[in-house]
Amino acid sequence: MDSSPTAGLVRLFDAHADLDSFPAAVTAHFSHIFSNPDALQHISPLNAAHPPEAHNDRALVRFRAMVQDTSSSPEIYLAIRKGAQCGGWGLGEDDATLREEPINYAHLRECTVLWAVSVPGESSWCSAVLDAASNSQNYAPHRPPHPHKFPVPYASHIGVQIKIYDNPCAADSFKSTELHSFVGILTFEPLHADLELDTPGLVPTLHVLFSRPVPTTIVPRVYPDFPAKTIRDELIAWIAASSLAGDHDAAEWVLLSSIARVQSRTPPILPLTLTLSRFPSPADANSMPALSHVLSQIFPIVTTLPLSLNTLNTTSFAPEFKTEDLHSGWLQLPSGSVCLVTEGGVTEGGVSQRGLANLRAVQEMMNGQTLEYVFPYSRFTFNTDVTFVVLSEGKKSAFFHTNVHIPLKPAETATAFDFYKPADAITTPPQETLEMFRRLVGSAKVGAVSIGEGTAEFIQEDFVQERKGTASPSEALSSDDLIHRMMLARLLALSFQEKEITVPIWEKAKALEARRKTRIPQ
Amino acid sequence: MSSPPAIDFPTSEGDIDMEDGAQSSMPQVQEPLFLAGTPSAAGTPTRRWGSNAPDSTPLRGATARRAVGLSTPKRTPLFAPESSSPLAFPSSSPAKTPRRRVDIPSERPSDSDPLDFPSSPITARTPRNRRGDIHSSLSITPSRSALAPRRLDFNTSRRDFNDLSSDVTPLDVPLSSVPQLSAPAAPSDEPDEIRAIWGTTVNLAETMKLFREFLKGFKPKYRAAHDRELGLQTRIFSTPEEGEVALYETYLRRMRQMGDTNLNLDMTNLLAYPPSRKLHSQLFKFPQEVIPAMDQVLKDLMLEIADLDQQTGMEGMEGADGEAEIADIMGRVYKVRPFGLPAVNMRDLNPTDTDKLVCIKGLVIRATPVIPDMKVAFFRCLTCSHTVQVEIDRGKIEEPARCPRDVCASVGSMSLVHNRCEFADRQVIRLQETPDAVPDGQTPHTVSLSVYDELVDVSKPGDRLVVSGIFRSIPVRVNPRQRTLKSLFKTYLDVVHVKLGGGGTLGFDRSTRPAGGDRLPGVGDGAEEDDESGVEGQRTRRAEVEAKLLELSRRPGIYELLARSLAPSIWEMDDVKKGILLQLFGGTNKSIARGGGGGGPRYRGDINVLLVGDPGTSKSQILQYVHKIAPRGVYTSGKGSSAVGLTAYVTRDPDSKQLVLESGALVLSDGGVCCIDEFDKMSDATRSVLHEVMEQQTVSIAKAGIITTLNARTSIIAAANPVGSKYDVNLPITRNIDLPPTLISRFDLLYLVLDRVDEAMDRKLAQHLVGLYLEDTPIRDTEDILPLQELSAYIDYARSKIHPIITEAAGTELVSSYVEMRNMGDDPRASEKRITATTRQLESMIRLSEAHARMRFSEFVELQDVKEACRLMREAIRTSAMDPRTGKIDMGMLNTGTGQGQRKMRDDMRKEVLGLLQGAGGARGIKWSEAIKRLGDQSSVKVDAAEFTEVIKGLENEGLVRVVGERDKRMIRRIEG
Repeated sequence: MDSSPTAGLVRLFDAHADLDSFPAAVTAHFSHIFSNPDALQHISPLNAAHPPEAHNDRALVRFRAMVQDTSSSPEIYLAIRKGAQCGGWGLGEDDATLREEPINYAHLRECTVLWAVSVPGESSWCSAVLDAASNSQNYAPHRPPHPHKFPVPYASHIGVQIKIYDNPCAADSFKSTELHSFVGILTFEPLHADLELDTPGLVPTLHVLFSRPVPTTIVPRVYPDFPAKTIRDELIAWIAASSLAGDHDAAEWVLLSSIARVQSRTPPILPLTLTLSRFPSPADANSMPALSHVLSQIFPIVTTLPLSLNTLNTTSFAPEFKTEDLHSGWLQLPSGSVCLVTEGGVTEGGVSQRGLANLRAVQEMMNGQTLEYVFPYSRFTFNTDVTFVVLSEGKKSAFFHTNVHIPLKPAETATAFDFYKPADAITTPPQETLEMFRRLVGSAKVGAVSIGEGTAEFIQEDFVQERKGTASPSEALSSDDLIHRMMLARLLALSFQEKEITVPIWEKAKALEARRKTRIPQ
Repeated sequence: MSSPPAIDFPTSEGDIDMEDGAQSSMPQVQEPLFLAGTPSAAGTPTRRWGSNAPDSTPLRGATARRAVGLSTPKRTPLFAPESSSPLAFPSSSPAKTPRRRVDIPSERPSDSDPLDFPSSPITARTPRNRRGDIHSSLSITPSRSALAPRRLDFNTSRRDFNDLSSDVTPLDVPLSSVPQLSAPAAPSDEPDEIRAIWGTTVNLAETMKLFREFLKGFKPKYRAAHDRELGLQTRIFSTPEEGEVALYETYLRRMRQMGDTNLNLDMTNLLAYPPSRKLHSQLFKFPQEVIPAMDQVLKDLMLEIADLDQQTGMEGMEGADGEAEIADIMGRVYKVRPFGLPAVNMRDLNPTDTDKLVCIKGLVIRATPVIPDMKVAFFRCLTCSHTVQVEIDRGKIEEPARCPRDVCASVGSMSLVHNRCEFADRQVIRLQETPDAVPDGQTPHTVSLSVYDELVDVSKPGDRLVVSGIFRSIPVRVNPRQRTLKSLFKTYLDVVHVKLGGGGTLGFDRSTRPAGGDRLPGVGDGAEEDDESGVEGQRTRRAEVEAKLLELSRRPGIYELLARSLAPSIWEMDDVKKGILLQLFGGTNKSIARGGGGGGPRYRGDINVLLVGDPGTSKSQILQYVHKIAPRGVYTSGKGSSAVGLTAYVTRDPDSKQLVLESGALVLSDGGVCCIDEFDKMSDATRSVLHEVMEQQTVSIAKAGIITTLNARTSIIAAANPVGSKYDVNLPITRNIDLPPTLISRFDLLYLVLDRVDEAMDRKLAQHLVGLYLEDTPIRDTEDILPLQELSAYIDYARSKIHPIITEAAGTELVSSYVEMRNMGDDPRASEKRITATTRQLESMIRLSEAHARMRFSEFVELQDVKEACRLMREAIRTSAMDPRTGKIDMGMLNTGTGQGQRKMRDDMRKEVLGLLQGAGGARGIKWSEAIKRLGDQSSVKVDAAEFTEVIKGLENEGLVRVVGERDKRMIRRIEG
């Protein structure tokens, strides 16, 4: 029956008496069939390797996607068609030669319409793990029908209209930037808003049978996973050697700030943002730093935001509702993303109002992990959970204020290091090691650490003593410094896969912080 | 159309039960009810004019057209008012049919039916009661006399219909099922027709009768009683008579006098008037049918009243004038515009609301230009020049496939004559949910509205609206694959009533609209009472919020609660928070309106706060927090903001060769709070702008040769770091911050936020922070605090609604406090006077007292307000204006930069310097460093190099000494007199 989801749906309909509970029954039925993850693997995925054109009409597909736009109004469909046939799920097609028949308005039901896009910045290895690349043929590059609905301009992606029939009230549970795996029947339909056009363009449309939320790590992880001391050192060494000219401290800071996440909003315990200054600018403004490739190898979702006057002034960072459609922006990123901001491409010149608004949007997201979507005459604030690493050529970032700032210090041996080498020039560790790296950062991303009574006492005492010890008040440790250190200690504990912050970790955090401070010229 | 007599439901009045969706229990309920098109004697009281109508057709134009055999346009443009009722009979389940249809053989006076009078050119015609928002099949006119042609007509049409029945697409046919038609019923000549809404027991004649009674009988007292029952606030009548007026009769007269054709009807009034109660639910459930019936009643009554007035010889209605007036009324189309249902969220609209009257609110994001909407198409036969008029039906003009004249009957010969068609105004508006209605994490939904006629161009993008309209779901055929069609449904609202400014915090600014320029059309409810009486749901919700805020304001300790809720994550600093809280409330702005020259200067009510302190003392956090709460808050960093510049540049710093952003981001927020971080890093140019902003509340911009002054009525909260990285408590504040004293003095409150090393405090702080940041689930403060939105709403409400006035007692207290504060400087033992308070401080005190009164929602500034204001002032002054060398408070330090103690010290130093120079080789001069050293030897206190420079500078200016040389080699020489 897997071969024809439509037949299964129709059979279920014929067996089901009550119209109102039918959509819920569909969800229950199909999610039961595919409750086994292996069974799920058998459904063919919808991704760049398997674009919509590659599937048969009304094929059963699964689509791991980010909800981009929930602003479409719900759609009304006829739940029982002529001859007591099942309606909905794209089954409304009639033969044009048949006469229309009166519509029974009592059989109208509502379905929720969303727009979802493939996960922006998803690393290719995720797909390899989850979508067991089957007979992938070579298709012509997919041309997404609504490219403005993807955060990264001109990037190849899949954009699909999603129709959810089960419990329209639950529609509110699909929120912008959330990740879901939608399983359903793929068809081509006009976009609802285009109905007024004479020849509405057709977009891939997924009639959802059931859906499952996707974790922020894409691949599910547990914490703690394994004792990580050696793997952690290897990971830092690899990041340093392959992308940061052997600077271990910088690599450690990059790792720590990338595994951070929003712990709490009141009080605000947000990811530490990092500026890596003294990072050489590329010879060619368009080249991507090797760090971006390296992070993509280990983190599931990495987006590089290449700042330049052009990107600032001509693209949108925040999503904007224009011409009756929610256009995406660079910053409409799913929770758990790592956003690498490169300032290397910025040249001298004017920044427009839009550019300023864009810069402000980034800064606000760094400060408060919120992003304002621009609507006509109103703005809506959405919570985000994205970590930022800023690469700047100068002494510090020209545009942003970040929590942590560390100047890059290339190892003496690494002269003429190419910070912008292409992805294939990077030496990758063996596959097993790489997999361990991914497990390490993935599990750190979902982990939680606590603090023992003793350590808490120790930290308090340490703070008091340190303040007492300083000669002049101007050098005293401030409460911000303490907060900062504690956030760092938490990240360190996570990176070591420890369940608790211990005194040695606290000391490590202090040492790391001290080493960083010595690098900053007074 | 068939009208089997059997279907004339013998409904007795008592059976009518509209509340439950009107299920008829009759067996023939499946049979569509077509009504005999007989004139109803009872229902048409206005026979007198009816007879004027030249003729009438019994058939709805649609039927006739159908008979003609039409083609259905394949696709229809969106928003076309088509459709309304895609009709058709719910074939399968008669038990539950939301669909119902009234089918009243309508007759339109002078509506020459082409079928019957093939060549009769249309001459004088009275307008049909055609409204775009309803497109009901129901069309009633007062006259129904010509029986014979109707019969004839009926048969003809039916015949044709049958002939062409294979072409008939049920969707477009507002008729019932085809089989019905094939069973012709004997035309009945019964004098009474029962017009009912199909599938229900709603009897239209009765509906009309009820509405008629309502219009004649409703008095304001009923509404007052109704409101009282619901426990709502009622309007108080100034005289008992005021409650006894027949309200709608006065509206009707006013409509006649003003030539208005729209009556706004508050549906709550239908509920309030006992006899018409069921009209409310009828109107809500079957607007499509009930509204045209009401329109009809309205017109009838207009005529009746005009007739009455003519007979009684009312002014302007005598004789010929009256006749003309009545003829005018005859010629008009009258519309009832109901409103007053509780507004629902637009995402709650669902299929069951289809064709019901709903009320939603939202924000207009787009409005199309006015679209001419064809109402009547004019066709001419190319063969025989026979003309036919076809009325629009659900957005479709059905082009006659062949000439209707039997003689001619040429196929495809009918062509449209554009300039003889009739058009109406239509506009499509996109209405978006407002932020308060959108669930968390969701993007707002949008619905389409179709507005017609008078409502066109009433609202503009950006307006908040409350609209009442009929919810439509209509099928659209699309062609996703060749050869197949697919039905998708689109939904929109046919708007019957629009109200501007649907509540929320941001109403539209009335001053932006031309006076009376786009008044909502129509006479009637809601016009004079402004928006208060408007929408019931709206009002109660706002009242609820208000009641909640008022209750909050009466809580004991509200001041502390609010202060605590401000930046709850920040440790201690209670007085700072209180000061900022009062800043957010603000004093009242005063202007001398009756001064000479019409409107004197404006005195600011805005309170400015400066925080100076050590880095890492959460100053920035406080600013961020204020930015979030404050209305129109703007957050900027002093660094890199170039005053009011409007452009921004990335430039390479000439020294460091690094890229820097020069932003003109300091866009001062008029009417809001401007938060400026790193205030001390601001360029001098920007600072000079701030001088103006903070006292005159304007910004002058010179750009492209034009100098202009803009309003910048903003409060400023600024944070500055001390000159060194840490505040030096041994120096006065002016030496600690690199800001001109003139600027500092413009701040009402200046707080020093110092990071003092104190073991006990440090330990407590560390404990707090460790608990907050390292525990797995951060402990939240158990203390109760207001959530941000509530705090914001509270402040908003106070700022917009409360304008406290200073009471006598408070005034006296202000005076005495001020005097007391000034007297603090009086030291009987000292001959000089220290300044402890200036009039600036008095002004600040007034503003703070007002803000405090506002904070507790008091209309009057009372003693307690002044007391707290003085306390805050004293606290702030104590920390900031204390001269660390004398331990005394001296406002001179803040106002001029030098304290009284300092001045005295300088005087002493001056004397000593002169003494030095007088002595050994004054003319030759003394080395700079030497002079300092020698002064130091003489003095008990260390000589401050900066002070010394000041003294020498003063002497130089007086022409007593001269400084030669540079830097270390400077020599001070006495100028010989």
